[in-house]
Amino acid sequence: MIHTERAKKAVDIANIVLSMNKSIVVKPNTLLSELNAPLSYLEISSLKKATREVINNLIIQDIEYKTMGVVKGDKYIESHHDTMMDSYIKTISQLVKNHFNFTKSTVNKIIGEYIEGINNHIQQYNPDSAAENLFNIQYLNIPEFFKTGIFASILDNYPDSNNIKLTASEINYLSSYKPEQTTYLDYIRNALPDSDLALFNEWVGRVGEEKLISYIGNDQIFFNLYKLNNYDCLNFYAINILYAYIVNERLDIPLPGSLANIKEKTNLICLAFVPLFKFIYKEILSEISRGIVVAYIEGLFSVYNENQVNIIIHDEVFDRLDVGDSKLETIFGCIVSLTNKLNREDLNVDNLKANKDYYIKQWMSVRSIFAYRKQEMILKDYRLYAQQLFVDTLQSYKDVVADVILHSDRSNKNIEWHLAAIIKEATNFINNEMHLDDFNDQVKLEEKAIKLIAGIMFKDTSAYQILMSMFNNMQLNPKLTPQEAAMFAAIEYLVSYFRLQFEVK
Amino acid sequence: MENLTLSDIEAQNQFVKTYQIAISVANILELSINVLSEIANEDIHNVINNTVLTPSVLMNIIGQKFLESIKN
Repeated sequence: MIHTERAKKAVDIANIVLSMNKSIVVKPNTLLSELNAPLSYLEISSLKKATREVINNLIIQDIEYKTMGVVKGDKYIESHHDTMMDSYIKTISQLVKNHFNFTKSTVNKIIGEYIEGINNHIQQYNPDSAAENLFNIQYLNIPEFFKTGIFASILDNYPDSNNIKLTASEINYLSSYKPEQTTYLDYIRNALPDSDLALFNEWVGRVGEEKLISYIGNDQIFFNLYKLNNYDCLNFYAINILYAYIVNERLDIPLPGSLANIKEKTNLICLAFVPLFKFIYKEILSEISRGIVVAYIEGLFSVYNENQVNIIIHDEVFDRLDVGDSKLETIFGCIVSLTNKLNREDLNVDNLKANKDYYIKQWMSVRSIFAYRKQEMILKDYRLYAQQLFVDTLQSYKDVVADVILHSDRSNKNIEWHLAAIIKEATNFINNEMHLDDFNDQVKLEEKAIKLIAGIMFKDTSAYQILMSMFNNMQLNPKLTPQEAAMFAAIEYLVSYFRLQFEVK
Repeated sequence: MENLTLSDIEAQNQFVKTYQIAISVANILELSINVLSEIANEDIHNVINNTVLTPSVLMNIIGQKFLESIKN
């Protein structure tokens, strides 16, 4: 029996439909036409002077009366309508349950895996799209340790120039002597007066203990010094001079080998390295006094690749560069303007200051082009990955997809053909409908993943309709629980199911 | 609701038109609410009992969705 409350609501809705100048015609041989059948017999008595309210009440009573069973004794005998209704409730409930179960336990699980795969890729990729991140910058100045105390006095003890040429074995000799139970640097620390210790440690801390130790007696580095920047050349000479000098000074302690030999060789190293140290030192001072900002540059900046550019900046000169808050932008602009014609002499305070506006403009322009290209590159990568992941996912769930196709009402049951068509449709969707925002925004990614997996991979099921309904309802009302959203989806599913059974005229 | 009296012909036309739509809508409402109650007990975790989605509210939502489907 149709309850009064529902009959009343039905009449209200019918009146709204009529007010829209529309009517509905139920298609024959449908579930709805069967349920309507017991009600379709109309016996209209005179309705003279009836109001709409009277008519509505008559319809409500009629619907109730025609669907009502009969009471015999203390038993309620179901009407034909009741029997049909019970049967359809069971059938349709099972149908909805099956669709929801499949959507929840299979399709939604695959969507979750797909989204996780995309997110993992994005996380690993970790694209840093700003052009300035291609510059590795170090700000250096001459360590105080080189200017005062014992090291300065060592420099004074040796001539500024000579023609000594060291052999590899002579340089290596230094590293063959390692005081027992102590490192090279601790050996130096023990020999330094307290007044020098803090400055020495400050220098070691800045350069790095490991790096300095690797310089001691290292002929490979010595013969490839042209590859180092001037500050590291200074560091190389300084640590070898200091170590050789202290070994030489401490010859009263027991040493391996001939005493004369050690003294001769360590002295030779100091004699050779001090003039070289002084030469580089003067070079740096000269650059600083001429206002050259960049002490060293390695690598060529290009908007077409992601080559790193290593830069060492004379800290002291950088402080003097008076171009407001755009110091680095001005330097970057000069570098990208001149590219392979770049000479470090161009990176001087006067030139940078005079052409500041031009260089900043150049940099901003290059930066925009780079960002655009980078975004294009990232999107291309994301799309390729999304496609590959889709193909892999389809391969993993091939049997499930094939089963769906075999049970669909499609006449073509060629599974391989359908799988190829699914991949083609997904590829087109990814390439045309998925943009950078869709990958970076979790809500958008979820929506696209629903389309790809539910709407394309499982297009012969109701999964897409159910999940999109849940998705849209949860977007409209974020307070909805997934269960409530599922209920809304079920309502929409049922309404669309019935909508196929009548025409609107 | 208008309380104007209608002529016999007008009233009969009104009755037939309303009745034809109302019986379909009544069956859709009855069937849908029963189906939702049935599946709510298992798959949708008693949503009807635990939330504001009472049968009466559900009926209104179904009615609204039905009208939307007709407009579209």
